Amino acid sequence: MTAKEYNICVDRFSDRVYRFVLKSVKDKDKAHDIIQDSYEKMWINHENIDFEKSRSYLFSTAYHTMIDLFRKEKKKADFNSVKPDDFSHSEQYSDLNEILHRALNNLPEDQKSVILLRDYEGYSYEEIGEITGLNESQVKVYIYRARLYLKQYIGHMETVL
Amino acid sequence: MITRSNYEIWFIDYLDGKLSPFQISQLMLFLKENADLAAELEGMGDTFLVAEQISFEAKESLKEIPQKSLVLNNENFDETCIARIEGDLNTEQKKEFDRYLFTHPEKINDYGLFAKTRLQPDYNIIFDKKSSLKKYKIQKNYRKYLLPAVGIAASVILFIVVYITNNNSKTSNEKQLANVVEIKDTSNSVHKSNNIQNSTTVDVNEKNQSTEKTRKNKLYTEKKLPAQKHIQKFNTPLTDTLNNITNIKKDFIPLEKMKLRKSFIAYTESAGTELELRNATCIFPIIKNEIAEEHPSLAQLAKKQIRKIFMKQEDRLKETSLTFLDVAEAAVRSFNKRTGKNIRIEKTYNDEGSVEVLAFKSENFQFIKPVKK
Repeated sequence: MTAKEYNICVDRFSDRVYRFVLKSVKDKDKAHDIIQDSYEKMWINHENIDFEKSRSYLFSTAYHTMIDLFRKEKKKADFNSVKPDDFSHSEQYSDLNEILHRALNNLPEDQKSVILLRDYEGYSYEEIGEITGLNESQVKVYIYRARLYLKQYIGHMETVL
Repeated sequence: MITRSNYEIWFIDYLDGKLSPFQISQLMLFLKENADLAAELEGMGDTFLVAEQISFEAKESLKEIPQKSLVLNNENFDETCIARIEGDLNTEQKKEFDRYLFTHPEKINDYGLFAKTRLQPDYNIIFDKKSSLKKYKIQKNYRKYLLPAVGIAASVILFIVVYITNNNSKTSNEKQLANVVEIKDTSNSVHKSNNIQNSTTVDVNEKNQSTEKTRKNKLYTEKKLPAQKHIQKFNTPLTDTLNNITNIKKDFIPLEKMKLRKSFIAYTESAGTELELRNATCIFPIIKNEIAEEHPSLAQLAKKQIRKIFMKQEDRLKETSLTFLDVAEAAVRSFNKRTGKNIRIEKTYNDEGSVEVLAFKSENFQFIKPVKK
């Protein structure tokens, strides 16, 4: 990848990676740091990266940087810690997307990442597997569990509202 | 011939049905003669294994054949809903799913909820520091010449700044001295006097007969200091002026004392009325130099530093002027230092000590330029 192509990557993907990271870490400063870090790593290796795979490389780098951050902060959620009945609805919501994103915050990091990559970026199971380091079956299971939780969450919210 | 040493092979062949009728009759005779071996052969017929009738029931799942139509029920409904919204169902399965929903309207709401779980990105969220991520490479060819070019450009800019500020500082010094004298006008005893600001030599003995010379001095002053519109022109003899020098000192306000150096004030105190004008005429140039040395302007400081750091001319630090040639030499020296080149500017002097010819020499080319007088 040339310097020019690298700068194209900045224009094309920085917003999208930023959205993905911000939704996961829920902290603007940390999201900025992760983006800076990811692009810095990309720049260091830019001569060895194929431009066609730059988006995947970026998301993968950002994802792993994020996971490292979670581990450092000991915030990585236990996979079994999320209970479908653990709904919080003390705030008023008027928008379905807002409700969904609220529910998203209750998901374990693995599930949250795969569902974001799936819905935001439209990645296939295989691509998500490459980005996250999971196998395709794991990706499917995480997406299944995430959707099931989200469905139950918004179903419960609709009942309440 | 069967014996006790080879009977095992005969036994195996017998069990496998490979013996001929003659061989079997021989075997039977052998067994009659060896009763212990006959008992051994008797149990061997039960050791043959018979395969059980076991089959693998999930054969179909292993075959790479098109999936059969869905069989939807309560147990797999959620899974199928998710597969439907993820686009994992084929056309036939989609039709089957739609038929199921049609026949089970109570499930439509559930499917609707699954369909709503698709997240939509918030496009208002943008990364606003893109410029900080971007990188720019300087090509090697450019990089080679960038630093020297920047150095030369900086030298030229510095030269222009110094040149401009130098001209400005000259004017301001002259104005300052003129203003000092202007305050003298507050003395009631002095109404008219010669303008002592100019630095031309005037003999005290010619004090009463210098009408024409005074006029020339006035003209010279006016020409040299065109901006001094407020300076009063005095026509009285110089002796009166000298007699009132002490008064000048007394009439100075503190601010103006700061402008004149102490040496000048002490000098005027000791001089009294016997002060020789020949010496007095030198006062202002001396003051001017003292002020310049003790309170140099920014431009003077810059020139001093240029001489010291870039030109290595420690012996010429007091020189106030900086010529284009000086700057050019500094620039060339800087260029050589950065690039490792050996470019030289050589000067040829005439008999009067002035630069007559300049020669620019480098590895690839050289030229000679006569200096205009």
